[in-house]
Amino acid sequence: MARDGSLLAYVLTRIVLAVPMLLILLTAVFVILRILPGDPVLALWGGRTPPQSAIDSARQQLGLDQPLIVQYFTYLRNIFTGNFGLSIGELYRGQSVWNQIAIRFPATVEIAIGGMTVACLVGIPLGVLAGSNRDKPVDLAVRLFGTIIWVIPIFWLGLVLQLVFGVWLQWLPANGRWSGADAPCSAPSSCLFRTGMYTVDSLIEGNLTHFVNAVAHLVLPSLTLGLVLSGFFAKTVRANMLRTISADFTEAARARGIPRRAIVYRHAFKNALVPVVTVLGLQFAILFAGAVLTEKTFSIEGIGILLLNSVTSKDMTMIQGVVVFYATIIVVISLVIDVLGAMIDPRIRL
Amino acid sequence: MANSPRRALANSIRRWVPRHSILGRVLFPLLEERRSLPAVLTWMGVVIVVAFIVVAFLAPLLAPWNPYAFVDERDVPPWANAPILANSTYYSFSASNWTNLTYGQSIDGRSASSATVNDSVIVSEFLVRVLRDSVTDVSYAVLLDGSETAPGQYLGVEFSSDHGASWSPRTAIRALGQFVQVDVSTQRPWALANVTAGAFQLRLTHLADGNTTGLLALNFAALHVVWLSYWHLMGTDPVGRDVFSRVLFGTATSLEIMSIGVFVALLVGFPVGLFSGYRGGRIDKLLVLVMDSLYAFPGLLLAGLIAVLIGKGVVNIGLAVTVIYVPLYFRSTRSLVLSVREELYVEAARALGASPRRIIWRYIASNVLVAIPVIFSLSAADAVLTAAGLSYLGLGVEAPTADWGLDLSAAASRISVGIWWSSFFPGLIIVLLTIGLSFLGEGLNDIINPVLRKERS
Repeated sequence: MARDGSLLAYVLTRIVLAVPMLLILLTAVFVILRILPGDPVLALWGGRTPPQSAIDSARQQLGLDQPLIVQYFTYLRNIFTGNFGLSIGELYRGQSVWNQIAIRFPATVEIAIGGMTVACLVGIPLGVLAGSNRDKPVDLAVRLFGTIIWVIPIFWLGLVLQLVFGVWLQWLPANGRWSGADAPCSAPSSCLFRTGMYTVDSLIEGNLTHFVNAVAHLVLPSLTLGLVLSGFFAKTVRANMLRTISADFTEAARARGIPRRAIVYRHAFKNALVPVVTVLGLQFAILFAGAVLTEKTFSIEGIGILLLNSVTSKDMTMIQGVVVFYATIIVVISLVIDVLGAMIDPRIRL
Repeated sequence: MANSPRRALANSIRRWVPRHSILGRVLFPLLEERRSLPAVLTWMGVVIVVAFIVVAFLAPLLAPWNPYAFVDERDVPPWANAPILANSTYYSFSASNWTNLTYGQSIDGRSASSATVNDSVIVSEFLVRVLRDSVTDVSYAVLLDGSETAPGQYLGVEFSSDHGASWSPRTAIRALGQFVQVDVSTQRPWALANVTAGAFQLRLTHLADGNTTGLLALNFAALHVVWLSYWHLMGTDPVGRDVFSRVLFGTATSLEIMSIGVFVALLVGFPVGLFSGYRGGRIDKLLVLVMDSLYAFPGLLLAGLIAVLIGKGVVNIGLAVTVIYVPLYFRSTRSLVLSVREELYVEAARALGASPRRIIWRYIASNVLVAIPVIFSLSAADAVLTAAGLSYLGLGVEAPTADWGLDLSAAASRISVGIWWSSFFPGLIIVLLTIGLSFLGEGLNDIINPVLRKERS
């Protein structure tokens, strides 16, 4: 009984719209990998020229001898049945693509969540501060911060943090996810289940030193990723604060004699946050790109490094798997964010 | 008058640029804006960007060193001269009864040896590259073989810095099986400033206590020269190239990739957005869907993928970067077209019977183009970051090219040993350029966007 404007109807429409988006991304991946120059089969031999018969049999094995349209539908069928194939690159040859992704994804999730947390913790208060003190020095400072931090290369910020806190002050580990031999839950029976995220795993284990170890390694990457995003957050929140602080309902509150602090927090801030949730969705693309750079800077073996390694070794199946995985995640996240936004703000559903 | 050059510039712009041309509609509000924050930001941005363009062209004249040449000055910190140590073994020697005295160190593990007491040999042509006249220390090191040398046999070493014309007093070296380093700075009659590489010679003499005879075996004889490096503004990188020169040369690489990326994206995205926004209908829907999907995907990864497949020239990287910004220009153009399309003057033009082509180009495109400089400079800042990110990941331009991202990534691993300058400065320059571009974009946005303008007043 989905009435027009109900949440259920909105969710269903968004799901229907998400399918063509996913299909377009999958097609783009296919086009890029199959049609652009750079033969993955030749890359198998790492620069040496193999005999023609070997090329032909490799082609046949990978299904590259079929017409493009057949290849395309085989590719789609494989993806929708979850068959990502085996790696053909030098680095991971013969290993299951899906396995590699599953091993590395938790590390990326950790820094992505850490980054988002930092971005919210830094960006939102700054935005509120700036928005409620319009054109005062605080406002100018926050706007400058937002503009500047947004255009700082993530990897450079990471290197500077590494240098200051990891090398000079030695407060935090500069590299990696873990120091010491045994990662949490590496012993088979020590945990009920494993997530692969060291922070969560050490909590499941109930080992506090392990937890501190994992968190300490997470601080610098999260700061790196989060600070860059926080500039954008601060600006968005500020713009929305300006809008809500001059809105009729705030004026009404002011007329009723409600103290300024209560107006800023209860009326302006809460309403300013609503559009931020929708903007958040767009940030995930930037977050993932940033995560690759952060992983490289802090030598974290995440999914970005996997993609990077497979791209440099022209490992076609692995690239395909990782990129499709990224595309799916992004489509799903934007779906979730849209639905969240619609739940908070009923006007979006209309 | 303090600001007369500025006024002169403003006047000449007023004279030569028509007020209602696209350029005029960007420039005139800027000139009329007085001392507000957006105006200050915009002008700062203009100055920074122009400075970078100038540097890109003048880099060969400004760079103090060849950015591609390897000198023996590795990891020199910025703003300082560092002591550089060069070691060298000899290259030629005079004939004598010494045997197995080959070029340089003992070969095949066999040591050079002499069985004749009082026989001396002169070794010369040390391949020390004394690059500076700032030599602070000269010493030689010898190693006598402990197992082959007979008892009572020892080595006497004299040192000459003028092709053997004069010799220092003889130093007796008796320690076996360990390096003996002798600082000749104390025994020299010559000034360190006059050191030339080819003039160094060592005279090695087989000496013996009393009447003992036997073998004197020598494993190693080498010269150490320490000089102060040249002064480098930003230090040198791990392979001994001047960071400042590379930063200067990298400007051109960065600006080239950035401008190819953004211009081509503009050339593709703008007309397609214009057409799609004006026509509407099914094609529009499809294009929006495609562009939105591409826009949602991490641009850096997409560009990296394409860069790897189409090859690594500056132009190719630029084209790979383009892929990110086509959806951006498409979206911004299209949304502007949608708002302009409903304006009264377009309505009026249509009523007067103007052809669609005329309406698109004359009435819509010109109004949309005014907003382009803002998007252009903001996306240019982003393109610089993307290009640097690609090189940082090893998917961008290739090794010897002077490129900020590449230099940064090559030296990044040295951060952990405290050698920070060779990665810090290229990054700092990226930040400076992107800040300039984004100040320009955001300042202009505040100035020429009339909605914001109304809000401010």
